[in-house]
Amino acid sequence: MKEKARVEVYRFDPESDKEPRYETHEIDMKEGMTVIDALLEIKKRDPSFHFNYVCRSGQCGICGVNVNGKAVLACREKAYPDMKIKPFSSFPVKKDLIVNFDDYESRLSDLRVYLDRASEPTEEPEGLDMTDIENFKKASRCISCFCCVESCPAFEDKPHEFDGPAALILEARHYFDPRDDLNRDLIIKESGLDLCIDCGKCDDACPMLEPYEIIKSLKEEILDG
Amino acid sequence: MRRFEYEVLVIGGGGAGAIAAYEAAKDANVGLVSKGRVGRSGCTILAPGAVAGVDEFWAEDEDSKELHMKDTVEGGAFINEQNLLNILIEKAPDIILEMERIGALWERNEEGDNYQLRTGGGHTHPRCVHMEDRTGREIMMALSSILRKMHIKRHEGIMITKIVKGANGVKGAIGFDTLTLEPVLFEAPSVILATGGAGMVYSNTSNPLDVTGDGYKLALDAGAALMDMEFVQFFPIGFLSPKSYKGVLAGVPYHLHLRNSEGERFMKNYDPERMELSTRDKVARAMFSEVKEGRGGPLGGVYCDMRYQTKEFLQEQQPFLYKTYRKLGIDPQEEMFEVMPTCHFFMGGVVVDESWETDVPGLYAAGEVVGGIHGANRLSQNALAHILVSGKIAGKEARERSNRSKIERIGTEEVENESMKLENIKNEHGDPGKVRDEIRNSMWENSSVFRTEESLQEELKILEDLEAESGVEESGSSNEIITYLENQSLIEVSRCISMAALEREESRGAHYRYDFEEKNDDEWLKHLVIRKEGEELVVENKDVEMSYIGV
Repeated sequence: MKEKARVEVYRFDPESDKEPRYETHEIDMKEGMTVIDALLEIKKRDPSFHFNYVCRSGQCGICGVNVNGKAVLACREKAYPDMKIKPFSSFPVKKDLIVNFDDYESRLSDLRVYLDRASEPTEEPEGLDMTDIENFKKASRCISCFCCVESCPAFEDKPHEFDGPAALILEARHYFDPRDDLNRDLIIKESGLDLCIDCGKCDDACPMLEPYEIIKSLKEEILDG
Repeated sequence: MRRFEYEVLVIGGGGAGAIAAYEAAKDANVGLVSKGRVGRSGCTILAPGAVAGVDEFWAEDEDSKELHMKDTVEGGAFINEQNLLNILIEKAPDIILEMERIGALWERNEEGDNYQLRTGGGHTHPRCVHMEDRTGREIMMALSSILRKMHIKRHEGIMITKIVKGANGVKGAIGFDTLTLEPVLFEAPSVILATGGAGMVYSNTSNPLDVTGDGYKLALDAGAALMDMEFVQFFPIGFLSPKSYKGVLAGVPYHLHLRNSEGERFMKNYDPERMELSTRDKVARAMFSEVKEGRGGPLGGVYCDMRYQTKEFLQEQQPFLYKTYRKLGIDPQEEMFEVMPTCHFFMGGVVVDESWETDVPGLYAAGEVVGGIHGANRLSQNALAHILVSGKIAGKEARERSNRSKIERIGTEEVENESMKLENIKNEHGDPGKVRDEIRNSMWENSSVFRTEESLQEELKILEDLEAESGVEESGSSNEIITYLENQSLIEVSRCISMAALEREESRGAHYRYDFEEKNDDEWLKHLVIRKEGEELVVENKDVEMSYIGV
């Protein structure tokens, strides 16, 4: 007999439901199956079940869900036989597993996360100081899936004071950009750099990089330096 | 109903849409509407490659724009529109520099004083700037940050279903919220289509799920023409399993051997010199032949063998892919896994002039939705270059047109008609998920790598039947309605591909007919152009623009 998986999924339509509920499905486990494959099986039975996934390759950062308490990208996570799948709790639910990133992303607009320079380069392509280039590259690998935000105890504790690891990583891209002239120390401090509790949970959750390593570099340069 | 007015409306949340919006917004009020989320949609973010562009500052002494043109035209089997291609090649270096001004960063040499260049299949010199294995994402990061800085208004989660025209050309567009199905009206004298290709017409594709060819249908319905739709590029190495990974790029031909079910490295029977490094189309056809002749695996593919590589080599050469194998439970040192070719890119698309304007005044196109630039087969690294150059030109031209035009009102009856169509869908019963699978599977069987008169006729018949079967289940959830609407785009694109492929009785570039295996320059050095007359698709011939290089 084929191995079966018991999958509990969160269902909620704010337009019609008073409160969320969990539905339990039993599905066949298949070789190499991902969480997305499990969700697709459920959607086949009930076409009104909503979840997000687009690129299937861990690049669009839109399929993040909470599986058994862990923030994961559904396309990069192997399915296992007993799963409770719910939307990220740090963001408002739009429908079923789809959450709304708008409020979080609009916070980023105040952080001047774009290249800000005093003057145009005199020669192009311009020569660069390569000292911080590795940190720039690492921070730029972020796909804004917000698995780190979902897994961050400091963000859960102080969601209004702390912008969370994803914001710090985006800020770090510009902080370490050798072309950038803006003094970003104050903005990054106001994002709550000192509220990070050094637990490293973002490193476990992130599918692309080690956010805490970058945050530690920011701390060394801004808080200690 | 929500109503918005803009001077320029851009449709599409990938790279071409983002740069078009940025360029237009330099002097116009711009709205950017996307079926998915801007920066999380389309193919740009998946592009690991590079941006091709020759400039004396970074190119090798022997390289030149003329050589870039020659390489591209040879790769395109001489049916590139050379006037457009010339613009692409001339402007590519400027946009490479402008992208750095707005925040992208290209890899430097060790001293940091010049670009590190890459080459790619078909390029005779290294001339392509890049950033790690995530060049497309670097482009998108820079564009997202500049769109944020410029406060460009985004409308995400809205699928456009109609371009509205008046006496002077485009007046705007109508769409629906993909979750609530609420209608949304946009009034704008310039509209830019940046909706990408249509990888989802095939069961095997490397493209994201939202790439369903909506722009091709919007263009045809609005009266614009498509060209070169028979030319679809297939990358040889795509996953077959699990289901959600079907078609996702599964390996790099340089680092693997392909074997059939008898364990034979079968490329020796097709191209003994180059083996797996033969051209993409040749490898893809060999894989199809092996499977058709009964030497495939249980999933219908051939075997990808990397057991001869060390773990360290694979981890270093393809870190992201290596992680993917492990996530999927594959140990490439220990086992082979099945792969098949996968639809990667559409060379065909909307016919545009040197302003990247379509036949419909005020309707522009940018990125993969455009046809004619890449000819019968695209060179690597030219896609990102075209996204950037075409987006910039379309953005500028659209902005200038809107500066001399007025926003025209669109009557509410137009929106009501469109809403009525959506309501009517609920009365036609069917299963859009099943129809989607049937389109994709039949197109794969009959109209992809393997094409004959018989298979293409068969496919056109299947598509006709599928159109008649279209509908939704009684519940009519937004999921199903959107799937239904996308199916309409997919069916239309599938027809265009199959009609043109049937018409072109030769093999050229990525188009291969098993019943006409030779290239025929005497009769077929021309484009096939498709228009809609009433509900009918009509195919015509068009001469190739060859003012720079002859055959």
